[in-house]
Amino acid sequence: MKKLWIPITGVVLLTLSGCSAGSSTGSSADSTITIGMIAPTQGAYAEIGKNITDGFQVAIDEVNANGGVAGGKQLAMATKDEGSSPQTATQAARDFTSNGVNLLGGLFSSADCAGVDPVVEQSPAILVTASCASDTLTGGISGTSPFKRTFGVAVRDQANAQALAEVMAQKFPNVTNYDAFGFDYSWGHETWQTYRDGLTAADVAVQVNSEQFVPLSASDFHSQVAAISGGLTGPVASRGIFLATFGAGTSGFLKQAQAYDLPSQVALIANSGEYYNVARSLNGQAPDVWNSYDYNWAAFNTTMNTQFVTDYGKIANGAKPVGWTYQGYLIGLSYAAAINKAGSGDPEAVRTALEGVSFDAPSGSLTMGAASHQLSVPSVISHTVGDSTSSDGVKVIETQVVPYSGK
Amino acid sequence: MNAETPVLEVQDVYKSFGPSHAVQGVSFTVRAGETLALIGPNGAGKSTMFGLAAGEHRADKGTISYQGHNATRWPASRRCRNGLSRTFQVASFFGTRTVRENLLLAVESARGHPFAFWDTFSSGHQKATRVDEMLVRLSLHDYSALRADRLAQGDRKRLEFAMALVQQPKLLLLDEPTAGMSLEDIQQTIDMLRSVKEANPQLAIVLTAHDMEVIFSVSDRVLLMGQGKLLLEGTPAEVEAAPLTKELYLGVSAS
Amino acid sequence: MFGQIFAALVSGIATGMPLFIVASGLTLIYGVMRVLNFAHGAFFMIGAFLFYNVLGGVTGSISLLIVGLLIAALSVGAIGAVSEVAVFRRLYARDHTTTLLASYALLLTLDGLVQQIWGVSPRSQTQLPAFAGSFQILGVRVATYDVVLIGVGAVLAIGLTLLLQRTSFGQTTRAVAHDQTMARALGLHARGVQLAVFALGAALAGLAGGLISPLLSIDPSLAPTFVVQSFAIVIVGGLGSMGGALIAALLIGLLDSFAVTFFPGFAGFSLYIAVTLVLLLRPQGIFGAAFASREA
Repeated sequence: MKKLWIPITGVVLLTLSGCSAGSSTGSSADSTITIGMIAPTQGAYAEIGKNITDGFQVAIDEVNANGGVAGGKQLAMATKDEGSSPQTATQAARDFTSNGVNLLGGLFSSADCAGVDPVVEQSPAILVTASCASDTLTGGISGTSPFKRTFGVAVRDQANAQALAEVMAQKFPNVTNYDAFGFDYSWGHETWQTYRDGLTAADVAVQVNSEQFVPLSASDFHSQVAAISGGLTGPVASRGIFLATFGAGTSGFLKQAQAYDLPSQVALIANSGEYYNVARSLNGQAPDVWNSYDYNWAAFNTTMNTQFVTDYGKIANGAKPVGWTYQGYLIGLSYAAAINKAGSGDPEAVRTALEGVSFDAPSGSLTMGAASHQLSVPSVISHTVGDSTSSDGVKVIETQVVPYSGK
Repeated sequence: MNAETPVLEVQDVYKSFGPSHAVQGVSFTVRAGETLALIGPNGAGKSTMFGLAAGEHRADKGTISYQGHNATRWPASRRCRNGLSRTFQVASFFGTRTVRENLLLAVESARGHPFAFWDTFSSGHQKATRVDEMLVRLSLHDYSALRADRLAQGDRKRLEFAMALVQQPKLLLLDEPTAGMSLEDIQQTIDMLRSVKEANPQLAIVLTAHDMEVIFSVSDRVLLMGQGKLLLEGTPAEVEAAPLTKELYLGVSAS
Repeated sequence: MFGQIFAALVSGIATGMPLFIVASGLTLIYGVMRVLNFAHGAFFMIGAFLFYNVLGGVTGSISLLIVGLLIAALSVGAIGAVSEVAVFRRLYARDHTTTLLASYALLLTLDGLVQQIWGVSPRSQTQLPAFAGSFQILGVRVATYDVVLIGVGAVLAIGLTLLLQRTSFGQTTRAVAHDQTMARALGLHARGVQLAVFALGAALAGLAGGLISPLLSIDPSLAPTFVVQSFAIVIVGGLGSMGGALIAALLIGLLDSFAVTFFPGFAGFSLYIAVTLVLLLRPQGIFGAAFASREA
C-alpha cells in the first residue's frame, strides 16, 4: 500500500507538468481546416493562454459565420498546452504535426518560440506566433525573418517601447528623473534600454535614479518599492517610473507602490507590455498609467473593432479584449486571409500565401511582411486609470496609435 | 472489574516480523500486586512480548486483555491513559527539560487532554503536589530544577521510574531495568523496586531482565521464553532449578 | 545616507515579517513531523483566494477583515488536516525524498484545483481604507499596512512561542517532536498531536495568504513564489526553530532591502547567497534544531 505512493507521485507529476495530451484533431473532413493552437493552459500564464485562444476562436467564428474560407471550408481550433518550458512547447508542436495538424499558431513566451521555431523549420508545418516579439525571433530591424516557416502578429518589443518613449517625450518633456523597475531577463532589460534611448533621442535629458530588476516569478517587491520611495529626488513634476513588467509583476508593484502612496509622488508611470488585464484586476483602483502595447479596445473607431469587442464580450461576460486576445484574433485573420489566397489549407501553399498577404483588421488594413514575416501592427499608447463606474473598472482616458514603422 | 480479574491477560498471542516468528502462541496472566519476570536468551522473543504488552507492537493473532478489556488493538497511548506505564532499556526522558518538567509532562500525558490550548502547563495544585511527592520519594528533589540530560546515569533511571510511577499506574512494564548498570547501581535499583512494591501493594509489574539476581530479588513468578514460545513458568526457585534453564543459559554463554 | 539606512531598515523588517508569517507554519510542521511541505505555498495561495472570495475583493471594515482572515485560516487548516490524514500520515516513517515528492505532488494537485475553482484571471483585494496609504517617520515613508503586518507578525511570534513553551498543548507537541515512541508510552495521543500541528501549520499559511493578499496579484502564480522564500527561511533559521524562522525572515528581509538600496545588482539573488553561506558555515541553520532536537 505504502509503496504505491512512488508511482502515484510520478503519475501526478507527469500529468501536471503538462505531458498530458490536449485535445487534438487529426485530418478531419475536407470541409474543415484545423489550426493547432499552442498556449499555456496551466499555471501562472494560463490566463494569457486563454486570452490567445479566445481571441483566435472569435476570429474563426466570425470567418465561419461569413461563409468560411477557400470556397466554404470551415476553420476549427485544436489546443495544446504550451507548458512552462521550450521542451513542453516543442512537444506540443511535434504532437500536432504527427497528428497531421500542420497549421500552427499561438505561443506566448519568446523562450518557447526559440525552441519551437527551429523545430517547425525542419517540419512540414508552419507557425504564426502570438506574443513572441523579441528581436532574435523576428530578425529585428534587419527586416528579414530568420525562420522561413514562422510568422508573427505581435508588435516587436522594441517598437512598443520606442513608441512609448516618443509619446512620453512629447507629452512629458520635463519628466527626466526616472526610476526603472523590470523583470530580470532580456526582455525587461532591453525594454527599459530602448525606452531610455528613445527618450534621449527625443532630447529628454534622462537621469536614472535607480534600476530595480526582479525575477519573473517574484511577487513581493517591498524592498524595491521602498527603495524607490526613499530615493525620490527633484520636483514631483520631473519624476517618472518606468515598468518593464507585465501580469503579476505589474500588479504586485502597483499595489505595493500604492501602499507607499508612490503614484501621487511622481508625474507619470509608464509601462511597456500588456497592461489592460492588470488594470482590470485592480478592482477600479488602478493608478494613472501610460502603457504601450499591441492593442486597446478603445483605440480604434472601426466597425471591425466594434464587432471584435462585441463578439469577444459575448464569450467573456462583457469583458473587453486585451492585447493577447488581439494577437490570437490576428492569428485567425492571418490564416483566413492566407488560406483564401492559397485556395486550400495546404501548409506550403499557405506559407507562400502568408508572405505579403493583406487583410482588414480592427486597426485598418494590415500586411504580413514578405521578408520580415511580421504583421504591420501599430503600437497603441493608452492612458488609463482605475474607475469603478467604467467597464472592467478601467477608464480609458486617451489612446494614441503609433503606426508600424517596419524598423 | 472484580479483584479476581487479572490486570493483564495474554492469550495465545502471535507476532511475526517478515519471516521471523518472534512470538508464537504465548499465554500468561498477571494479577494485581504480582511481579512477573520474562526471561530467556537473546532472540527468545521476550522483547517482542514486552512490546506487545506495552502496545509498541500489535499482535497478529490472539488477544491481550487489560483489566478485563480487550486491549489488543489499543495504541500505546491509550493503554497508558488506562493505567499502564513503562520504562525503556535506555532511560528515556526529555533531556532539554528539567527533572520536574519531565514529571509534570508525565502526569499531563496520562490525563489525556493534549489539546488544552488554554491550559497553562504548570498549573494545577494537585498535579504539582503529586510531582513534588514523587521527587522526594525517589530522592530526586535536589535535582528538580536541573536539566534532565545533566543527570548522572543512576539518577536518569530513577527519573524514568519516577515518570512512570507518578502516572499512578496499575501495571508497570520495566524493560531491562538494570541493563548496563554497575553492581552498585543494580543493588540500588533492586532496593528501589522493593520499596515501590511496598508502597503500592496493588501494583502489578512485568519486567524483562538478564540479571538473575534482580529476578530473584523482586519477582513472584518467572516465565522462561525460547524461540518465541513459553517454555516454563514457575516460582523463581522452580525455574532456576529446571535443567532447561541451565541448558538455555549455558548454551548462550558457550556461544 | 542616514535616511537611506533607516529606510532600508524599516523596509527590511516590512519585507521580512510577512515572510515569517508564511514560514511559521512550515517550520512548525517541520519541527514536529520532520516534513518539508512543498504544498505550503498552495495553502498560502488558497488562503488568499478564500479571503478574496469571502470579502468579494473589497475590505469594508476591520471586523470583516478579521472574519475573512478567520475563515481563510480555518478552511485552509481543514485542508491541511485532510492532507495530513490522506497523504502525510503514511509517510512520516519514510525518507525525506518520498515525503518531499508527495508534498510536491500535493502542491501541483492543489494548484490544479485552484485553477478549476477560481479560473485563471488574476484577482485583486482592495485595502481597508484605514490601512491604505503611508505616513512619514524621520523623513522616511512607511506604508501603514507594513506596520500592521509587523504588528501581526510580532503577535504571532510571541503567541506561537507561548503556545509551544507554556501550554499543555505545547509541551505535548514538543514531547511528540522529541520522541514519538516515548511520547506514546507516556500516554500522549501522538497522532492527534500530529494532526493538530499540521492543521495549525496549514492554518497559519491560510492566514498569511489572507493577510498579504491586499499587496499581491491573487493568481495561480502565488504558490511557488512564497514557498521558495519560506524554504529559505526555514533552512537559514534552523529547521524547526520558531525563533530561528523569525530571525531568518528578518535577516533575509534586511539583506534584500539593503541589497536593493545599495547594491541593486545583487538584489535578485541575495536570498540564495544567504542560503548558501548558511549551509556552508552552519549547516544546521542559525538556530539549528532548537525546539525539537533529539538529545545525544
